[in-house]
Amino acid sequence: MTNEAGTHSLSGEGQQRDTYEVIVVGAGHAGCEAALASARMGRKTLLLTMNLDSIALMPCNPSMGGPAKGHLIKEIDALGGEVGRNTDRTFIQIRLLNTGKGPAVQALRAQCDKQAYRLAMKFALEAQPHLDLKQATITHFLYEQGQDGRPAIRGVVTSTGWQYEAKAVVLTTGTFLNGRLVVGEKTQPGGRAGEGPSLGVADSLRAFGLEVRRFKTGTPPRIDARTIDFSKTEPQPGSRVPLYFSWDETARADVQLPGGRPNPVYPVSDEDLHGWRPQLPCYLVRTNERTHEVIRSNLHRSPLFNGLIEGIGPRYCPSIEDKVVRFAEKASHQVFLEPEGWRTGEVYVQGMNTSLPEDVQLAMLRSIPALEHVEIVRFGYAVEYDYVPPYQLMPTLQTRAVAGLFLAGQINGTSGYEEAAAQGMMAGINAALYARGEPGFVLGRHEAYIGVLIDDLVTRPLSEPYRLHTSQAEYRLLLRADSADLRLSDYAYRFGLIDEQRYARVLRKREQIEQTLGRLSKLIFTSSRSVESAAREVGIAPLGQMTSARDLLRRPETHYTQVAELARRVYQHEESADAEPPLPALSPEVAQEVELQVKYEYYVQKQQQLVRQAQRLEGLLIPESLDYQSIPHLRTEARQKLARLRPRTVGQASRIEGVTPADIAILMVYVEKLRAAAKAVS
Amino acid sequence: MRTMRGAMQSDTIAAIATPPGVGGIGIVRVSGEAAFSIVLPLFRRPGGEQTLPPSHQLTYGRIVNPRSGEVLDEVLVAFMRRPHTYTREDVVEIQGHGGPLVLQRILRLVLEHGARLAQPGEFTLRAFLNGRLDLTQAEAVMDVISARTEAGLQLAMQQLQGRVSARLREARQTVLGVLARIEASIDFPEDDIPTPHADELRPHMLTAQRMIDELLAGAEQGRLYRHGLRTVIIGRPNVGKSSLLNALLRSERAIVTPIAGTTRDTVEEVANLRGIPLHLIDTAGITPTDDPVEQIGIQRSRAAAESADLVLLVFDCAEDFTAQDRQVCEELLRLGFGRQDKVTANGRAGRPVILVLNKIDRPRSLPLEQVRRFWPEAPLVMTSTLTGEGLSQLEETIANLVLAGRALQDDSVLVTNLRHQEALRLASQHLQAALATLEQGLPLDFVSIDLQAACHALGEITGETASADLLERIFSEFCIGK
Repeated sequence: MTNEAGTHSLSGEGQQRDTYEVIVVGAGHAGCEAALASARMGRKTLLLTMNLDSIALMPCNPSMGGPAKGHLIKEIDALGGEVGRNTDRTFIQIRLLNTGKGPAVQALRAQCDKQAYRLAMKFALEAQPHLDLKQATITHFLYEQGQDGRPAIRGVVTSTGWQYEAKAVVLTTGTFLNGRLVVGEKTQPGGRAGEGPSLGVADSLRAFGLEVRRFKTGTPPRIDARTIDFSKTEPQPGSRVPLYFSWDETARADVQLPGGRPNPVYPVSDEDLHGWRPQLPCYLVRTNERTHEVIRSNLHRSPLFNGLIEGIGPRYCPSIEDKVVRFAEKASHQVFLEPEGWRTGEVYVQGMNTSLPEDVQLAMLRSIPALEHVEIVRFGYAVEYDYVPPYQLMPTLQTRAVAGLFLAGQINGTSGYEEAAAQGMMAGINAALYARGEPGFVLGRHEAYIGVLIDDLVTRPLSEPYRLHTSQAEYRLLLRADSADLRLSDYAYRFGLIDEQRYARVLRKREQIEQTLGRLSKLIFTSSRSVESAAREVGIAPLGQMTSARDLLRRPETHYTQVAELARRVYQHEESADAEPPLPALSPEVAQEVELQVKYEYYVQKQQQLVRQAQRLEGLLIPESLDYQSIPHLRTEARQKLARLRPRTVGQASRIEGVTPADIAILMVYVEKLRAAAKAVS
Repeated sequence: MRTMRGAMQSDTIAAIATPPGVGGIGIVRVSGEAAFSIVLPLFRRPGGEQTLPPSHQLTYGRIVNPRSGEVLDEVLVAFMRRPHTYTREDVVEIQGHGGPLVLQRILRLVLEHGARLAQPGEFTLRAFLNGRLDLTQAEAVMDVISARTEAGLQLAMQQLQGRVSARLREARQTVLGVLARIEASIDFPEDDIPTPHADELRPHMLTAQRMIDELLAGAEQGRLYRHGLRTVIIGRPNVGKSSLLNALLRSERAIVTPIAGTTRDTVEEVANLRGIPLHLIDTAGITPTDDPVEQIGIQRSRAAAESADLVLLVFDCAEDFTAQDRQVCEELLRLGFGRQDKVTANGRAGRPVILVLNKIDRPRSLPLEQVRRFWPEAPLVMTSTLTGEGLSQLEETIANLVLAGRALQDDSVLVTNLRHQEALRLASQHLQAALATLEQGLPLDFVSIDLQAACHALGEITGETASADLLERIFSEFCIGK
């Protein structure tokens, strides 16, 4: 067996060895979910990290959620993941966004205590049966030649020579592959501020034939809260009503924030501190012409503009210098000052992402009235890193080049903690399944944002770090954050990721929704005087004619509780008080689901119909070994793209850019021909 | 790529199943689960019978637009229950007698009532996938699909050049602009982006819808469809111009209508070529003569030629290239014909000439290089009006020139491709629905559903995909990154 570029075979040296079923390398947001999922599925799992004190670190904003990202958290939670629970344990502020824009785009966003988050996640890992947590740096992989001709992973080797064997390895190394930090004119190797890069692994991946490319991202400066004039800021308080990410209510009671009052430098109201949960506000300030002038006159010193950084950065997370140049007509930009925790004076300057030299960073902040005397405690920086373009992955996140090697998180060219966690969850489940020879688990675009995310990654070319937006989901209405448990709990239960009790609650919720919908259709109100007067009393506009409860609920301004109350008054007055009401009392969450299915039935059905049509193609599996060169009828462009991306289904093939309906028709004929031929042989 | 949204199975598809321009009878075929329920309400029988006729039998009646009550055609309809059908799905075949134009209107009516326009080769594909054809036929199916698509794609692309595509892109960008405002406010709620109000969005949506409706109206009432294509048959005497005219008319005998007021010098008749009226003008000739009677005829011929969109220049294959032939050629060149890439003095694009070498049933003696010296690039077709040879090729050549937009004299915005028309119709419908959602005061998310669909429909014509374009618009118009 050859010994290629840092990739060792099993027969190598190494006296010290341990055996696992699944190894996860990297304990960021992807790695944590992957390791927990695998261990919860009962696999003997090892999680390796370069630094046990950096587990689930939030090197950028300690914020979780928002549109699409909040949806991801709810889905991960429904699958039994940790990110939702851990956020509930450690947030110092939570809000519901997009409240007026439609039920499917409402999203939670929370601000976490950065240190508490890391410690709480570490604690969750330490409490997990079947999971070992160790500090080590990986230098190369163990592998052997598999039966199908491609290498099969057998484990990893650490810098100190330990060999850990496993059937599946999940690599979640984030920005650490050949990471390079850039501040102004200075650069240094590193994956995050204060931490060195990981150098050998990228070479090992290249030796396996995987293509590696480069992206960049950045982070803003952190400032000292004592040097902010809060009187010149506009406080942005958290929600005044209870909000949580997780369906697992134990996390709500398990708040893991440092005790006592928050750092006293932050101005807080009584409502902030003594509401349903103590919260800290964020503080809004704005840039001005002076700020922009400082930036413009120093552009030549920005590594983004002077060519020092070559990697491609994300458009949705531009640096302040980028914003000032591209939107020159804008006189002012928002800047949010966000406390990084309950008991820290470190404040994140959201919106001031930059890699300008340190003196310029200071000058531009001090041009803002509230920040005239500000001191920076950590400077902003840009980081350039290697990623593995994800067209090389199957939808299970297993690499096509190496059997048993799974990649998740920023290594796949994505950005965001939530995107990373979602991939980690799926890679963890799939690694666990693979380790026992079971078929892979892929979520459809109609089932979950997770499905949209991964399908996009393996199907569409990446031109910048990938961030999920709700507009990428074609069936957005079916992917509401609040219905994630209804959509995904069957899978979670089947894999052993949620317990009996939690699953039973989902089944009950589902049953309640269906029963209520049925009853709403059957329940008829006449327009008699007594009914109309009851309607008036509960705040329902006159019925006018005989109306079903369902039609009544269809009115935009009418809510379930009103209809249920009307039903009780009209139909229950003679019965004994303890009889079952004609329409059940529902929890707000269930009532909302019922309302939604009734009020927006037309739109929901329209999307469901589109899903049914698309599913025909999704159900047609393409053999992994299909030789596209042997289908001469395909147009050359289509043949090349299909051969490169190797779609798993005809549906996925149809989403590849440059593949036409005629190509798909030909592909269908060919797949069918192969299937028929195979049947004829057997 | 969302053009496959309709998938290849399950939904109900329709198309004209007879080759264009052949015979007076044409068939619209509808296949799929909803085939019966779509066609039955459009089909009126004598006596008002409304039940489903027996399977696999031809039933007489009329196709009626249920909304307007307009009768489109008298037809024979066969309702055929699966599985004993070509596709093994429920199939309806509507046999019409009204010619291609009427057939297209029947098809459009079927599409408006829930069917989707079939992709090239899709009936055959379904037949295969449903096990109706055996394995050895698979290759043939793929051949059919790839061949038809190549031709179709080429034509469609050519049609989209110029103003049509510019208007289309403009309409799509307008929809995309509205969508970008909605999506930016949804995906970046904490950025400095105002939530758009209905009053700001409505005008843009109405503008887009107006643009699309204008394109659609152009498709149905464009000059080409209203006035047809003026096609002048020119050549020296006795090369077979009249017999060519008659031969071209013969294939469409059912819909030939003599135009009143034609003289013996120029005979004008209308044939129908793939839904486009073809005004065939037979001329007495345009070569100079001393005979005063002929003079009048020549002037008329010249006038006819000057107003023509297309010239069929006829030669006798069995004779030499005569001085008269040369004079005809020179005169046509002088009038600015045949220079397809050049713009003539009056600002109009050069009009195409098709060379027709007639009488190939007889021994050949015409030196081709002499003809080619005048017309190095003009398309050339060999015909025999006696045997009918080459006539369908001539029709094909004319059709290609027309549909490629090269035989059009004015610059009217015109969408001739039925697939494009269908996509426009869908886009218009979705915009209508989005406007209705907006008027009902529903949240923005619901408005975006139909806007997305409209965008996809337009993107199917222009070949653009929405999701990348949308993000591009959002990031270029809004400063994202709070």
